[in-house]
Amino acid sequence: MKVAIKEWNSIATWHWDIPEDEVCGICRVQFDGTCPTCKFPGDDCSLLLGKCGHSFHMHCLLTWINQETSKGLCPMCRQSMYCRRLMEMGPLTISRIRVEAER
Amino acid sequence: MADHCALRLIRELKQLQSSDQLAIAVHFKEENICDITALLVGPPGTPYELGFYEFAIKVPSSYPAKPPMVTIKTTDHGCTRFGPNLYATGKVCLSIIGTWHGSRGEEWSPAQGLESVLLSIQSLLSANPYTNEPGFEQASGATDHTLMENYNAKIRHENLRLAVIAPLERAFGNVPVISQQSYISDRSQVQDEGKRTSREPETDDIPTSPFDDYRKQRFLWYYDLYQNNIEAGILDEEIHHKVFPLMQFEARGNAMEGRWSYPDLKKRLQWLQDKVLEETHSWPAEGLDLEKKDAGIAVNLRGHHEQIVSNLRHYTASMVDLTLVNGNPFLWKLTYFGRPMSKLDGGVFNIKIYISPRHPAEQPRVFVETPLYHIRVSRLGVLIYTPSRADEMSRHIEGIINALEDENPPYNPLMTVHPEATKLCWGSDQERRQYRTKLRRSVEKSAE
Repeated sequence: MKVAIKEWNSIATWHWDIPEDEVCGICRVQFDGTCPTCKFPGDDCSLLLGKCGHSFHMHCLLTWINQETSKGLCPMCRQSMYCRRLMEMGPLTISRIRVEAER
Repeated sequence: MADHCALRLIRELKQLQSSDQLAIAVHFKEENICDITALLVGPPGTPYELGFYEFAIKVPSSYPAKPPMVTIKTTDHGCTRFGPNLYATGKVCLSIIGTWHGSRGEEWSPAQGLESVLLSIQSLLSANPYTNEPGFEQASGATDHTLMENYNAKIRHENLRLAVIAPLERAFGNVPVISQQSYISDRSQVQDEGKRTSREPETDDIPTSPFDDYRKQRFLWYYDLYQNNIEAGILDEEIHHKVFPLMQFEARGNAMEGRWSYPDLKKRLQWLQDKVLEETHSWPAEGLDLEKKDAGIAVNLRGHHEQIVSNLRHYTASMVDLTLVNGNPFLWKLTYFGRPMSKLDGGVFNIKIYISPRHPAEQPRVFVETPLYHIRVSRLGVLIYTPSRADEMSRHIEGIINALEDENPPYNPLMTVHPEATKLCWGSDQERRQYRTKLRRSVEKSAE
């Protein structure tokens, strides 16, 4: 049987390149969700990756770090917090393709 | 309230309420979740054993960047300091909530939360609280040992008096007119570290605590243990009617003052047991009135019963019979037939389940009426069990059967209500055998 694709819709999902079940130690929301002050996950609510291995939503960590009592320490391990912004997202996955067969 | 505070708090509270932590309970009102009351059950084996310690937790809107504020409410209206770090004023000295200077690793961070704060406070209710006083951590001299003994002895007494008995008496509307403490003169101008403390009770009328039923239920569970501790106190002639000695770190107004009076506690404990039983036995009568009025709760319970009976196979492989006593949906009778090949094989046990007209806000109370020598059954026949869901009667039935059948439970002193059986069950090999023999004997007797 010959099949010709007449139409297809693709839906892509993305997630941060970080284990899926990990939560932000500050707001305890999964990383793929936003921090409590944002509405949309993604570039506007990015993640910070600590040198010590602990990651947080950028906004969550900033509220903590900007406060004097934090002394610039990681909330989890209390080492000095050096971090970089996580830029990499996991590979885009195309999850659904609708195929209509030609009669 | 800021979003980040509320969202995280809701998450935490949900988790705390659904956790199977037997020693921690939290309560809050929907309209203000930043105002939380928590109850900690004193760890067995410490002078705070099975006492109920109430804490008020206020969560600032900057949480979790800033720690919650915690005060202890179990202070006899500001008159008793329950430990070196649990002040009479209510102040809880703890580095992770910022009320004590601690080293780097001990300070607050947003990675901490309600549960870790409560667990830290629970660790203050320790076996030797004397060493919780800064500077006394390493105390080990001969005089220190006597003082530690003394300190524990007075905490043990006040634990029973103020953390078990007094709040329950209040729940039954009985406020002792003359406090045992009243002989201590001039309490009006006591200073505590520069802060003036209020000696007035928070409220004059009796507030109903959200934990009243929680306390009553546990009081029935742990009654034998309370009683044993009181009996041990009465036998200890060294302390009979003596005035509590002051510790070096205790100052007037921020101390544990009073005197030992175990015979008095014995009477009060007995009175409370009568009251709790009286209340339990009043439920079916009260329920019957509701039944006549076709009240929702009565109809619901009747429905639950029918449903459970038709699905009994679903809950257990054992033979079970479940009926309403005199058709009353508030008093259930469970007949349990010991499962073949189990320790209960051949036994027949009558179990009564008293259900409150305010169910599930007040939890059912369960009595095994057939004598049974079992770690989960008290001398009075009270059964300790934990339903996987407090609001579903089917889960209660399931919990009851599981509690009876649990063959090799892990050691958890909070889940046992028969002190002697507990000692045997987790004792030497010989004692274990003894426990099994006593259990078997009571099973055999039940069938006669």
